[in-house]
Amino acid sequence: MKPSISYRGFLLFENQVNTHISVSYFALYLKWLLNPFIMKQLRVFFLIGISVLLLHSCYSVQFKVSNGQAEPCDTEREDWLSGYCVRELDTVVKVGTITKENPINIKDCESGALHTVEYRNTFGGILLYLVTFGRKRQVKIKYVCIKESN
Amino acid sequence: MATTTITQRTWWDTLHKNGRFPLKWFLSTKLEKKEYLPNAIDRYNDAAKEIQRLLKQALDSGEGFRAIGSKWSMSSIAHQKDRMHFNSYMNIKMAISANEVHANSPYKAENLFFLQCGNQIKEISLYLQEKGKSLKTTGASNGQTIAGCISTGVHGSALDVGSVQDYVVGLNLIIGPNAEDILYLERESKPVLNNLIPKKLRAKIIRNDALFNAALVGLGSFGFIHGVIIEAEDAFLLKRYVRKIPKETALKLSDTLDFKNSDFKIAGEVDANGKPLRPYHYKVFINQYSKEKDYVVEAIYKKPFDPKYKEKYGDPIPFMKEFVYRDLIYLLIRISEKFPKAIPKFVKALSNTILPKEEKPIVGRLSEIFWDAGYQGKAFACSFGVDHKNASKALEVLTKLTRDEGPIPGIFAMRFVKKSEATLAFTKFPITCMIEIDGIQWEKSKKLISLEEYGKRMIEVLQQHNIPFTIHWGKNAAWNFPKLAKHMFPENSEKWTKARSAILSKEMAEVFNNDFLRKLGLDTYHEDDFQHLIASL
Ligand SMILES: Cc1cc2nc3c(=O)[nH]c(=O)nc-3n(C[C@H](O)[C@H](O)[C@H](O)COP(=O)(O)OP(=O)(O)OC[C@H]3O[C@@H](n4cnc5c(N)ncnc54)[C@H](O)[C@@H]3O)c2cc1C
Repeated sequence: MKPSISYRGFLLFENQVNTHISVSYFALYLKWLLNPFIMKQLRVFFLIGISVLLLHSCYSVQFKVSNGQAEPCDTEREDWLSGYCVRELDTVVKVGTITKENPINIKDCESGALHTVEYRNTFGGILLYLVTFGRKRQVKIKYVCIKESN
Repeated sequence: MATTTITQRTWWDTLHKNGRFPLKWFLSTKLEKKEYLPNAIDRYNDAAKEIQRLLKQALDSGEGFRAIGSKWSMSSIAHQKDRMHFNSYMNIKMAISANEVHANSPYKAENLFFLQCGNQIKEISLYLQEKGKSLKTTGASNGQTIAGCISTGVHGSALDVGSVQDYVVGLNLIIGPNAEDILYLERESKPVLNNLIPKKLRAKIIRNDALFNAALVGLGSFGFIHGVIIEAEDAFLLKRYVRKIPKETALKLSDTLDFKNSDFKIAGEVDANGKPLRPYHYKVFINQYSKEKDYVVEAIYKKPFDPKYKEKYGDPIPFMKEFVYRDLIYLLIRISEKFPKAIPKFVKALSNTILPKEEKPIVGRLSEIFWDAGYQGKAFACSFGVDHKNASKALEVLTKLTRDEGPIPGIFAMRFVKKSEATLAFTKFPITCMIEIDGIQWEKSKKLISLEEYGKRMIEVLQQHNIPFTIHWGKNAAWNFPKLAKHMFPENSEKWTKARSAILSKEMAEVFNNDFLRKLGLDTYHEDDFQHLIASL
């Protein structure tokens, strides 16, 4: 297929070119919009747009105590938790109509104390919360315990 | 019983990813729970037994064994290809009471603390804080273990204090699997303990200055340091100022450390005659690519402790700290490899976040001023020790090299540290100026030399200019440079290998060897009779 004319930066191909030059500019625009190639391009833009939106609704917040020693580990992480024993909790908690959940018990800190918590919010989590009217809540956290003292 | 988890590995790396080094076994020992073994000495002895069992395993299988701390060293000093032991959970802390102190000891019992090897600087500071005490100095941050610190010689910029090893006054070493292989070592000239504690530890006492000084900065190769005794001091405050001062003033101060007669004066930090006081800490930051007329300097003054310091001066620990995105840094580095000329621009752009800002003075404890480390990604650091009288000359030589044969994605700083008595301390000059370049690792490209080549050139230019130097054992360098150890420590390198041979059996010396030691020729074993060295029992 030989490229023929270009329209707003997109190449249009010969068998797609509008030969009725006399039709209105709007019709031309509509036709351009509906042609499969442009549709594909728009889909890409749409997907990028949605992804940007999703990314923006996905964030994390980190907390750490300043007067405690985090539990160290020999890990290969490169992020801000490098060198620490990082535990992860990824679950969905359910809330009943007349009951409310108690705090999630963290049992694996031998020192009995938390040093760092990273809470992550995702688009999926928000969606789940919305469609279940708040009855299901996604919990995604990373945490580091305080090092056991001796 | 203390328990050790042993995992099979194919490789291991430092915190800042300076390797990938081959490894067979990774070991990590956890102490028995307090509820089953409540007495700290019992738990400590139980751990000693476990370490001896692990040493026997290594010895029997003809393999090496190396204790590691927080793996903060960027050289390969902590690496051993067979067995690496993570000490961090071995963190017993004990105060020493007056009846346990030697009759001729110059130390006050209230300042003496027994720390197991895996205690990290931050937890030690918190522990001492509860007792109204403080460490005398630390590095710029607080994640290293006490045994890791002394094994390389970690320093801050405490001009008249020294390095971490300089307040360690007693060492408990495990040098093999047998009953007689537990030693308690201290200086004969400054004894610390009578025989009560060593007896409880079932340790043989050796009081000998030469052996103690050699074992103090032991490069991980002087046996397993199970515990140390430190001398702490009463809690104090530090007041930190950051100023931009003319380069000439900053450099003249570096060469002379004559604060009293310097133009660098901070209001309020003067004596009765209005002359500037000598700070506790002095550090100069240098962007070698900048043509600015000023350097940023950090001066810290020691103050008596005041429990109301936070109310008066605010909290020294920021509510939140900002860091440059790691991915952004990596991207800049990738670009730099292709277009090295961009490096000075990147360094300038990042210098606002790297360099401390001139703000109102911060007041806090030592552990709050030298706080948690930030960046955790791929990094390098090269650090040379020179006599402070040669500070400006050495800085000129090294920064010129960095501009002419680089540019290198890093920034220089100078810190100043009092001489250490340790045989292989890189702080060997009366006051050593540590000239350091810290930055982000890069890949060699057609236009950019490699870190190895850069490290080699740094040594060469210092040698060409006849500037005597040492290198920080825990930092990046051309460690395979011919006769490097001998060049840095003409007499002391042999004193050290002899002392090591006196303490360790030939078989155990081999167990505690690693490639780092071999590269430097510090693995030499002397078969002579060294009984005279351990005569002062
Ligand atoms: C973010 C950061 C900041 C730093 N700041 C400074 C600074 O301000 N000043 C400074 O001087 N350095 C600094 N360094 C370097 C670092 O502090 C030193 O290399 C230090 O030795 C690392 O201690 P570690 O506990 O991580 O020990 P490792 O790096 O794990 O080991 C160091 C050595 O200690 C030996 N070792 C550890 N435990 C034992 C034991 N129980 N028995 C025998 N040998 C043992 C190891 O075998 C090895 O030889 C910094 C490094 C980083 C990553």
